[in-house]
Amino acid sequence: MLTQMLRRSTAVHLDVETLAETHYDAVWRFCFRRVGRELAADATQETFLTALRRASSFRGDSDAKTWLFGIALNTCRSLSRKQTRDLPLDEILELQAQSGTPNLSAMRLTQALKKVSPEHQEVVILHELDGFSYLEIAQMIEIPEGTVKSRLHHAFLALRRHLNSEEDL
Amino acid sequence: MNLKEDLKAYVDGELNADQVKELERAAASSEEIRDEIAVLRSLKEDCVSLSATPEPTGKAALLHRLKGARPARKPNFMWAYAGATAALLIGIAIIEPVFSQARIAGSSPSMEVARTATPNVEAPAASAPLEHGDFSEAKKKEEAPDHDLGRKERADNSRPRDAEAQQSRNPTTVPAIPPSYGRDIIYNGAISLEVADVQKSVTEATSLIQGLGGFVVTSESSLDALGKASAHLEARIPASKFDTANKTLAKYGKILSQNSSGQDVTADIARGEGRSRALAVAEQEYIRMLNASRNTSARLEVRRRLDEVRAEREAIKAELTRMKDLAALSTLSINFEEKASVKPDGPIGNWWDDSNTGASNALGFVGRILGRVLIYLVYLSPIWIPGLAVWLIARRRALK
Repeated sequence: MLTQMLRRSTAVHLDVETLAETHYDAVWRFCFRRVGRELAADATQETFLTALRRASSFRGDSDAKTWLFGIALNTCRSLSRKQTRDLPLDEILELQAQSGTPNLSAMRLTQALKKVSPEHQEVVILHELDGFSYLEIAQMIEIPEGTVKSRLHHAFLALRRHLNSEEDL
Repeated sequence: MNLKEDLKAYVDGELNADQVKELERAAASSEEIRDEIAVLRSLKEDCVSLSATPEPTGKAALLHRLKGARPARKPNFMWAYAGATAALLIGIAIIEPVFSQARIAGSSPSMEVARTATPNVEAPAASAPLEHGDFSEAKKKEEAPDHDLGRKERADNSRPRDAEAQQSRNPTTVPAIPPSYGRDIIYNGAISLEVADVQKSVTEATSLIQGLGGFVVTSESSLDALGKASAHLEARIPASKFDTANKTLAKYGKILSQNSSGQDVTADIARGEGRSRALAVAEQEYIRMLNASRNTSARLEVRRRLDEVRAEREAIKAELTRMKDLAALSTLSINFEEKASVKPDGPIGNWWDDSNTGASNALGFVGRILGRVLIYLVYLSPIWIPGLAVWLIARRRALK
């Protein structure tokens, strides 16, 4: 408790308005990949409002961006639970199709991604689609960096397994 | 190093320079590793192709909303913790003396302060009831409540900070005890006085009591931590002089408290005497039967009953004596407390000693409080540790 109190006493000042100016688009895209277009704006707004409420508790242990996306991740999880929704992979695929460059591999990958476990989906999207490093993912979902590495390795093994089985059909 | 796991990290650019070198050496010599790297890169490129998103919306609305909003004030839990701790310490500081007082009241008078107890039973030779030897028994049994009351008074008076409260209280003027009209009444009283010189008052009170035909049963004097003197006397006074004693003592100083009570035991004494007379008749009858009987077993039976009757009669006689003694001599509990005086500043040496003593007392007090808090915390740990754990987990989740 004392450690917590001391940490809080050294809280870092955080300007959420500037964060929103800088990271709004990235957070919106991040949310889109998790809750879909319909809820992305709501989730993003909720993320920044939560950040505003908790700005005083930001201790600077991690980067402000990582902290912000951690909040976004929790907000999306909470919204998905309430709406009982899965990842909007079909929306992502649809967007791919609308872009006029239909990619067969991407379609097959989307299907494979649907079949892997939620933990594997999470690290794949965080790393490959959102572009976060292993360390950032580790801080965001509060697991060791080695676990992120291992989880990604196994996620890719699972993806390849599903892709190969589809090819065999 | 797990080579297979590292392949993915290598493709992602997450290995350090040494690991990269090692893996590239392995790849150079293994076609399988090279193929694996190629597959992983291809799959990664496919993943990246899924990262396209529509244009974000709602940024202007959020920025507008944020401009009007103020960041939540940092909750200053440290002050809350400090406040709670202070409240706990103050609470214990308030409650602690109450417990101490209760302990003093329930324990022997020699506790708490080093008292110079000088049991001073100056029973006059002419006092017949005391010669029966049942005085101490009667004192223990019947006077116990009043004695305890006296102790409580003493405990009150031994605490200097209570003196002010007592001064502000309106001292109850005890109504004069009405004449007993030939009835047997046990009178008990207590008076607490603030006087300038405790020792002088004790001497004067002792003379007064003896002059009225009474005697001092107990005399105790003590000094508290601040050097304030107090004394307690317990006296037996002829019932007829009880009122005079009270009125005279009231002139010695400022009355802090005063009370008296009476218990009419006339009927009890009459019942006891009646029963005693009946038993005397029965005793005479048994004696007559004993003398007349020639049968051994019958004699033994009569003898047994005669013993029972005699035992009961003796018990009643003792009780009657005790009651008559109590009725004849009232019990008066007297407390003297030294009047608080503002001492002029003494030499530097006294100031130094006083400061040392004060600081030492304060340290001891804080130590006791902290020790008490620690004991409470340890004993209550099955309650607060799970609660704290739940709170910390909930808070951690909430802050995330």
